Parts: sequence; C-alpha cells; structure tokens
Amino acid sequence: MSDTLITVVAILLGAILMFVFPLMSVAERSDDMSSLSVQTAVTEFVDNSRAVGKITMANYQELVSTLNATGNTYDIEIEVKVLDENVGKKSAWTTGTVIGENIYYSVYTSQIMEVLTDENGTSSYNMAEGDIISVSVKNTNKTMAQTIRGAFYSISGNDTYQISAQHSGIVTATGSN
Amino acid sequence: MKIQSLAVIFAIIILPIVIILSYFIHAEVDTIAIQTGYDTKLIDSTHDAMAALEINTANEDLSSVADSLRSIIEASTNVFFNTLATNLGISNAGNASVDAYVPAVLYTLYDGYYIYSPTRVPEILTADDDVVYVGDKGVTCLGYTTYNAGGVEKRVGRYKFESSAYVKGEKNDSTYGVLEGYGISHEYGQMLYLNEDGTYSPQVHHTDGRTDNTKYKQSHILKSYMPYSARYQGTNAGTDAAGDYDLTINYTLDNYLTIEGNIGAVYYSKTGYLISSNTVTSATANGEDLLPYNEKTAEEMILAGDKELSITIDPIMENGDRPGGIEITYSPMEYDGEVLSYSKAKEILTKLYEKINTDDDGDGIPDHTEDMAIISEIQRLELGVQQLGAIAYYVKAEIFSDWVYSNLNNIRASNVADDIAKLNEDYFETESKFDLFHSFKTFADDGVTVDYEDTTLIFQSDVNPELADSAFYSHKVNVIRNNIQYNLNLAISAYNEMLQTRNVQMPVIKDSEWEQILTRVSVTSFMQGLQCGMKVYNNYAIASSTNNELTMLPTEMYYTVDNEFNTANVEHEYHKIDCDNLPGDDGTNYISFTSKDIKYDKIYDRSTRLYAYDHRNLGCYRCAIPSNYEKDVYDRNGNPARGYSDDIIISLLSPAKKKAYYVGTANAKQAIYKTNAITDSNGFEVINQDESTLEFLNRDSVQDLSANLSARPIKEVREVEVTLSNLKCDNASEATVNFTLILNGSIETDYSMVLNLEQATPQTMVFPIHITDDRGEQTVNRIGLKKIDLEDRVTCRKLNVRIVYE
Repeated sequence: MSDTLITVVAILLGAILMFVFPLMSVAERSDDMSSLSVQTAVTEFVDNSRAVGKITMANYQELVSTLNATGNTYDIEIEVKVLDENVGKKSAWTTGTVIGENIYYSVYTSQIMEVLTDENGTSSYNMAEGDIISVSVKNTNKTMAQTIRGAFYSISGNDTYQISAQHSGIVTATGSN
Repeated sequence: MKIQSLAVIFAIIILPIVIILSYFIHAEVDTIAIQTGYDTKLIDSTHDAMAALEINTANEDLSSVADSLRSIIEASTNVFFNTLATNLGISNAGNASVDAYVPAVLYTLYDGYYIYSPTRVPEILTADDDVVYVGDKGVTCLGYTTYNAGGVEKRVGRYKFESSAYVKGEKNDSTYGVLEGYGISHEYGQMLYLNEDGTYSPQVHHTDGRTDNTKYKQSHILKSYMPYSARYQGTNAGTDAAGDYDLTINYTLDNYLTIEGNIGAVYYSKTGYLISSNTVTSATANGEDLLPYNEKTAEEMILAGDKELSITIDPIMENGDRPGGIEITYSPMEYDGEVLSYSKAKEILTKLYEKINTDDDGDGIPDHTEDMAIISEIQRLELGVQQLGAIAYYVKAEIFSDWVYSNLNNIRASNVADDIAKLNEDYFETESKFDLFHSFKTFADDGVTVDYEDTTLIFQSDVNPELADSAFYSHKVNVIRNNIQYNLNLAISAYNEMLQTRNVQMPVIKDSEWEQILTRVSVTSFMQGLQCGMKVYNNYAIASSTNNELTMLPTEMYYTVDNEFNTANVEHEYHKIDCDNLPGDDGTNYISFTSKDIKYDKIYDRSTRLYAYDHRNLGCYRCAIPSNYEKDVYDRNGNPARGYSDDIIISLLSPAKKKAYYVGTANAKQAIYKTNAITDSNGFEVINQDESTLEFLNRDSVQDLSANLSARPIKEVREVEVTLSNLKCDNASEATVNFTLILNGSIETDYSMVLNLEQATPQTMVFPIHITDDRGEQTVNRIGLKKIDLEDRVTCRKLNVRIVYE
C-alpha cells in the first residue's frame, strides 16, 4: 500500500525532474538569449539615434523586427528629454555664471510616433544636441519559462516581465531641423 | 535497462549541456554589457571633445591668431582623452594607458580635416629644457658612418653627449675643425636625434640590421591639416580656357571653393562660392555695374558702405524653379554723422552691445538696461550690416561662378589625377591596395587601360550646386570621402604596423554616418583592442556640431522681425524661417542669427565682467526648442500640404521670408572664417623675363614689352605689373619719370606711374585695367610702355612683366 503511494510520488517526482525541470531550464536559457538580443537591439537603436540626432522610422522598424524575432511581444517606451535652453534675458540676472535654466521637459512614445508616422513627413523625429533619449523595452506576453514557473509558484501583479532592456544617453548631434 | 538508469543517463547528458549553455549565455551577456559600456564611454568622450571644440571656437577670433585652430583641436583631443580615462576609471595622470587603444581621432572641419593618431617620431636631444645642437659644449663627434639613401652612399656623423660638460649657450670651439676633418662640416649647428645604440646623429637614417639607426618612439600627434582637395589634369578646361591644365581644387562642406593651378600659361589662384549662373541678375553700385569687376575689387567697393547698392537675385530653389527676382538694396548708413563701412559698423555694434550690458553696481553680473534708443540703433545697424554682407556674398559668388562656368566647364570627374595614391606606396602599402579616387576612374590590371571612368561634368551652370542632387555636390562628397578614407586608413594601418602585437583595423563607416560627417563639423573617434569579455573591442563614435563658427547650416538659422530683435519682450520670439509663428507681411524685414550665437555668447571680457549675454529674444516653443513642427511641405504627389520636413522648403515661403532666408544665409556665409582662403582671387601670367635694356629716346616714346602672350580678352585683364631697375636719364637734373601703359597699340590706361631715376634697386609699377566696353572683346596681343613726360633719353633694365587676370 505505502509502496504504491511512494511509487506514485516517485513517478511524479521523476516526471518533474526528468521533463519539467530541463524544459524550464531550457526555456529560461531561451529567455536569456532573447534578452541578450533585445538588449543589443535597444542599445543599438539608442546609440544610433543619439549619434545622428534623430529617431528614424527605419531604425525603429529594425528594432521592432529584432524584438519580434524573439517570438515574444513587447512594449517599447521611448522618452526624449528635450533640453530647454531658452535663455532670453527677462529681468535682472541673479548669477553671473549660469547661461540659462537648462530645464528638461519630456516627450513620450505617442508624441514621437505621431511625428514618425505622419504621412507628409520625413519619418524622422529630430532631437537637438544636449537632449537625452531613453528607451525601455519589456515583454508583454508570458514566455514559456514564465508559464512553467507559474504552474509551480505564481508571482502576482500585472507588471511581471521576464525580458527587459533599457538604454539611454545624451544626444551628441543636432538632427537637421 | 531499467527506467531509473535511463533517467540517470538522461540527467547526465542534459545537465552539463544546460550548465554550459547557461554559462556561455551569461558570458555573452557580460560581453555585451561591457561593450555597451565602452560604447557609451566612447560616445560621451567624443561628445565632450566636440563640446570643447565648440566652446573654444565660439570665443576665438580665428583670423587674428595664426594656427589657432590647431591649438583648439589639440585642446579638444586632451578633453577627449581625459574624459575617456576618467570614464574608464583611470585618473587623468594615467591617460597614457588609454592612448594605446585609440588608433585615430578624426576632426572633419569646414575646409579640411585633422587626424590625431600615433606616429613614430625620433627623439630629439635636449638638456636644461633646451635643444642641444652640434657644436655645443658636451657634444663630441665620434666619427661618421655611411648609410644608404635611395642607392646613394651618404655620411652621417655620430656624436656623444655628456650632460656634465654641457653649459647652456656655450660652444665648443674645436668641433668645427673635427667635422671638417670627417667631411661633414655641414652638420655643424644641427639638432641631434637619438640612435638605437645611444649615440646621436643629426639626421634620421635607417639601414637594415644596424644598431646605429635612428631610434623612434611612438606618440600621438596631430597630423598636419589636410584640405578636402583633388588634383585635376587634362587639356581644354573650359570654353575660355585652352591648353593643358593642372589644377588643385579645395572643396569645403558647403559651396565654397579654392582653385589653384595652371591653365595654359596662366597661373590661377581663385577663391569663392559657387552658385548657379544668373543667380545675380543685376548688381549696381551708384548705378555702375559691379559684375565686370574682379571679386576682390567688387567686395572692397561694396564693403566700403558709401554707395547706393542694389542687386537682384534669382537663385534656383529646391524644386527647380526660380523665385522671380528678389531685390536687396542698401543705402549708406550713418552713425554720429559718419558714413559707416562694413567693419566700422560692426565695431559700433559691439560698442552698443556693451552699452546695454554694463556692470555699474560692480557685482560681476551685467546690469540689464532696456534702453530702447540704443536697442533700436542696434536693430538699424544689424539689419544694414546683414544686407551689406549678403550683397557682398552674392556679387562675389556670381563673379567667381561666371569665371568657373566659362573656364572650368569641361572638367569631368575622371580628370582627377590618380598619382596622389602612388606617392605613398613606398611607405605603407595597405592590403586592399585602396586607390584614392577609384570611384572616378579604375584601371585594368596593366595599370594603363582605363576600365571605367565617371565622365560627369563637375561644373554645370544650370543647376544649383548647393542642392544635394547636383553633379557638383555628389562629386564633392565623393572627393572628400575618398580623401578622408584613404588617409585615415593609412594612419590606422601605420599604427598597426607599429604595434605588431595586436591588429588594429579601420572599421567600415556606414553611409548615413558619412552623410553626417560630410555635412557638419564632426569628431570621429576610434577605439580598439580593449578586452571585453569574450572578444576584443572595436568601435567608433561620431559627434557632430551645429553650434560653431566654422560652418553655416541654413536649418540652424533663427530669425526675428527687425524691430523685435534683441528686445526683452516675451512676445518677441525668434523662430526658424519656416515656422508658422514667425510674424510679418510682405514688407517685413528680418534679422537673422545662428544657433551658435544663442548657445555660446560672443561678448566676453574677463577684466570688466564675467559674462554678458546679448540675445534677449526668447526661443519659440514650436520650432526653436524641440524642432519638430508641422509646416507647409509638398506631399508625395508634389502638392502643398501640412507635414514635417528636415529641410527648409524655400519655394513655399512668403516673398519677405524668401528674401530673409537668402540674406540671412548669405550674410552668415560671408562671415565664416576659411583656413584655405587666399586674399586675392585672380590669375597671373609672367610674359617677359629676359632682362633686356629698354631705351626711351624722347617724349611719348613707346617700348614693346610683349612676348609669349596667351592672347586672352582685354576685359579679363585686371592689372599689368612691370618691374624695372637701373633707371637713368641723360639729363641729370631730372629726378622722376612718368610711364603709362598701352594695350594693342591704341588703348591707353588712365593711370600713369612715377618712378625714381638714378635708382639701381628694382621698382614695380602696377597698372590697374578695367575696360568693359567693346574694346574689351579684343585679345591682348601687344603691351607697350610709354614714357609721357621727359624729353630726354631714359634707359632702364626690364626685369619682369606680369599680366594679372580676373
């Protein structure tokens, strides 16, 4: 009787050890691989954009297709911090060493996409030298590793993601007008 | 086999695979992370280098300090290495450890480029911070060795140096005699280079396998300035230019050119902006036509600012149309009752700016005076100066371009001389046998038969050379790109040769990045050889500048309505020319300035104030700050629509804004400092150099000077220079003699020149010639010198006669 129970438990354990664990392991490696290519793609996208001073549709599409090639779906968030160097002299100056206020204000994905997809446009969003661009990418579907892991222990909340990458940097050239 | 055994075998096979795979992927992730880190550090350092360059050029008067550009670049490379070292976690003192990983830093400037790269340099003997020369105390000659210089045996002295015997500035009297004994007395007073065996020699020399060869050390140096140039050779350069030609054309990032070389017997040095022909349809100063003059003369007449000027321009716009005549006029401006020249007006402007930026309370911060009387004077003068600058630009450009289109209109891309690449073959042969101008002409294996040649005419008068689709533009870009690629490749492969231990290679730069390098002043830095995880790092970074005094970009120009310029009213904003919010109707005048003016300020005086900012207008939040704005564009079918565009679409601007655009860009171009500029823009021909004696018997006696005339039209002659010596007169009481010049036996110049008699040293007479009527169509076939005042006989020696052409 107890032998039968132990055999059942042993078979269950054996099944988990023999199939689920390797599968989970391989799935996680696959996610690692995905995050590697996602990180590379994001870095490339940001560095290209900041060196040329513009976000172009071609670069954006390249990023999207690299991301899709990993078999997952992603949420791409682009933020451009525009340097507001509007330094007109309004009243008496308070300090003799500061050029201007140098405040940043942010422009987000939807505003950028609006310019990129304008049908009478050049398919590019221009930035000025001194602006800061940052891009962050997260997967929105459940990867196989997440599904398997979810079967054993679940992490609650919507914000759980397995693959993510972010990169940012200062823009080094002014894209033409 | 039992199922348990199978499970164990399965686990034994799978586990290592999983572990190794996981290890490998993590290593790869680390590699990427390190590489990304290096990328960021490199880009940031390059950006810092560019920022240093911008700041330094902004406050420097480049034309007044010789080679100041070079010291600015050197400062910029310092910033680059400092930032890179700091970023890599090495303190500034440890820069040398970063140096080795940077095979080159490329600075592409307005009319040429610098390469900062490691080079082998000989070590020069110094003591007490002074260079030691042969003959100084402490230097003794050990004898000489012979070495082979291109098949010829040469003697080179070997010297020993004892620092204990060295006394600064004192000579060893016996040295010269010793050197004479060895037959190497020419080495006296020369600098000394270290040899490999510890001795010194006054020459760098090398013979295989010997220990007394010159010792080299490796150090990063800024190589000499290389212009964006190409050499052209062939026959019949243009309609008006017969004979063989051999020219060097220096290009720039915009449409400015410098042309030097021979066409037939005439040596030309021409410089100016190339525009399409008939861009300036009329140009007058006080009613007199300016276009037949030489560029230089016309510019002087215009910038004097004392004439009523009026020009009509009709440039080709980006859609191929012409706007139909834009008139730019200028009336002499006065300030305090004085008529202002261009330079005087600029001087007054500086003074006026200072007046509204004084620091009366002495706190080091300029007080803000909103004195409208002064500000409206600034507005009046600024507008006038810009019109004047623009007129000078267009008139000069038209005169120069007309010359180009009639003298160089037969030059094709394939006329590029291919011998430049061969010059360097002896020293470094790159593996690809990269030919400098292979895109214009390629040869078959025999090196003689031409396989392919690009026969596009470079200078076509009916297209706007400023537009990217013109033949001139694409040829220029090709020349610049090939030129840079060749020399950069050379610099990097030379470093590779030196290193031996590891390979450095020039990475392939993408086309989009070339576009960026070739339109803006840029810094490109290369970093190679750092270990990063599983591979060796090899990448480059580019930073471009739009805020500098070296170039002018039409898209980086801002405009305000003239009476709103430099006022602190929040409603008086500056805009880009195609922004909807830029106000004005057909009669509005605009004042323009560059983005650099806003970013880096000009007035800076350490002794009286810390800082003064002289732009009070605010930037427009639609166009000037974020620069993505909807405006009038053409849609895909060529119909006007609303949308975004990278370029300014001139044809859709209102007439007043079109004028503002053309005046603004022209004025900014006129103000750019050009390294390769030459003061005069003309050609000359030496026609007579035989040093014969001339004899003027009586009054109005004429002596013929002509020989070897290349028979060009008289209207092209700018001046004739005659140099005479040993002037003597039979009548000893006479002190001077007057001469005038006669062309073709009948055309007498309006000028007479006075020369001193009884003077043995050479005297030069310059006869300016400006003949624009029918007589100008004749070709020059005779030049005569006429004595016009003395009755007595005068003799002299003729040394040199030159014709200067426009």
